[in-house]
Amino acid sequence: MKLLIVDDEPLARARLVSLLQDHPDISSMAEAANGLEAIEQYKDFQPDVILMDIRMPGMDGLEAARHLAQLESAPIIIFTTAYDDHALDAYDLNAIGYLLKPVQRDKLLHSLATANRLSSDQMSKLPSAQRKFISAQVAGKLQMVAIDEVYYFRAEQKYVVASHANGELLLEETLKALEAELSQRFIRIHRSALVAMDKIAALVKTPSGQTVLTFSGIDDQIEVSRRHLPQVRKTIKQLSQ
Amino acid sequence: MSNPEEQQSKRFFIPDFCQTQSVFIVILVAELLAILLSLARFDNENFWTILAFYSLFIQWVALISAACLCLLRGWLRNLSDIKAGTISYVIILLITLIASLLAEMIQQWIEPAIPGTKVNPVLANLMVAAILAAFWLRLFYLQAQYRLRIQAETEAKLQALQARIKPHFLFNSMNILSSLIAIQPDKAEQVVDDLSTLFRASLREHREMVSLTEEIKICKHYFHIESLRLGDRMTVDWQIEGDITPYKVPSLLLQPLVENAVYHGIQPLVEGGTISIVIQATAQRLDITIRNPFDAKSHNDRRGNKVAVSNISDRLALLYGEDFTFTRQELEREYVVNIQLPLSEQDPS
Repeated sequence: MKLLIVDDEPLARARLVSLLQDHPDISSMAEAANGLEAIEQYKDFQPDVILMDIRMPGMDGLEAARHLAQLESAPIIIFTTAYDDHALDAYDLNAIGYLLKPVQRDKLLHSLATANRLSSDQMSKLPSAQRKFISAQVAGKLQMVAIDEVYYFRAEQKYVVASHANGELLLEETLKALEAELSQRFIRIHRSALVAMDKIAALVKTPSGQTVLTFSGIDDQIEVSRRHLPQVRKTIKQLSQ
Repeated sequence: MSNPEEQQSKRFFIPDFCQTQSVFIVILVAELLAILLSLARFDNENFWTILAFYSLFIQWVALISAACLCLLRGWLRNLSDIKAGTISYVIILLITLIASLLAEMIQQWIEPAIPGTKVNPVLANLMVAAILAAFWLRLFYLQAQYRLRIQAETEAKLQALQARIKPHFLFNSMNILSSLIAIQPDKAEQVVDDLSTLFRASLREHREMVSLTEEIKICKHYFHIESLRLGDRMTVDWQIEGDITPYKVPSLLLQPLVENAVYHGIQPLVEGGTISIVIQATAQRLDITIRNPFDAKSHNDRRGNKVAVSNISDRLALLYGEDFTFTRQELEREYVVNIQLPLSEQDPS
């Protein structure tokens, strides 16, 4: 079995490596220092099991697990956590779901022996304070886009399209769920569009009488529905103050 | 914290006269007063008669006053202390006045008074009641104030204690130790040394002064532990200008601040950064600036930070009065703390 160790503290990784060095079932090990690196590593290394720290800078372990859950061959994730991460209790993860740090050798070996796969449903419900990335599986690989780089989300027939600085990403999430999660930074301007507030350039009236929204950085224009117009105006006014 | 109503009643200084215990004490104190006044008459022949009269009168006044204060308690405790005190005072005097007038009428009816040089008994009763009621109310008030102060002091001590012993730091250190023991035992020994220095410092008396050199040493021990944990994500840049040897600072003045710089500045950043500490000492003043990179976006838990900061601010105010500055600036990408202290001849405490 291939094992990926994810922790932002080099010493914590070194300890796990030294504990598991001679483990007969482990064929190879790799390390990553945060959630984003873990996902990068996953692409090349294809681990069977990930030992994932929860608190990490950049992308935390819970968010990384949530992204990995989209993969068809999602790895088994065992969380490692410091004393104050009670977040997991609330989510009813079975006891092998996580290990308390400093990780005890016996418990670690036991968890590895009985490693259960969390269902992807369980993982997608993991509480992450706020995601920093969106992700989608593209040709079997996980593609990540920082939410900071997203201009808008547009609902198409079956998918939601995230338009970002370097292109587009098809997501299997609903606009409604995205709006609920990202309401601090995104605003609904149309039944089918959710827009990043800090990327808005202006409201423009077209010759045909429509009101559209323009962005700073890209040329796209998105229609603002009559129903959402007052709220959009208000928000823009607040932002420009 | 308890609900506001409960707090109000705890805070209200007049005791609860609705309770049997309080009523008993009122009766007891009233009787003692009656005995005292009877004795003061130096009239051995009529002592028991006098005592009986005094008891009857004083018990009436005391019990009716207690009953009134009991009935009005709900209303009084919503008023300010001064208003509640004044109203209670007036109530007691009114009751004394009415009782005195009644007693006087009854006495006139039983045995008509001998008009003469005697002090007006109503006025005398009122005077006694005025002095004693003022005395009791003041006593109750001071007692309540004392209780409040004890409570506040206990809370402050508890907060100080909580600010000093930080579980996350303890657990992180244990994690580091358990890693090092397996990998680099010699470094583990160094960490034990760092930890014991830090814990010894944290057990010092809250107001104790240490030399600035000592405080810097403690910070360096702290940084050593954290640098093992954070690896090359953290660098620390010390700049010390001027002669700092004469300066003394309150124990653990800087350590909580550099700890904040690590936990709220460096730790949430993927790429880490540099904490810079600049200390400038002149002959009269000490100027300390701590800077750390800071990402306001990825930062949402500021509670720990506030506890440490308000704790330090309180301690400096206690030690230096007005003669210090302590400023925090949250810039877009940087957090800056500045402290300026005077050189004190001896410990300001």
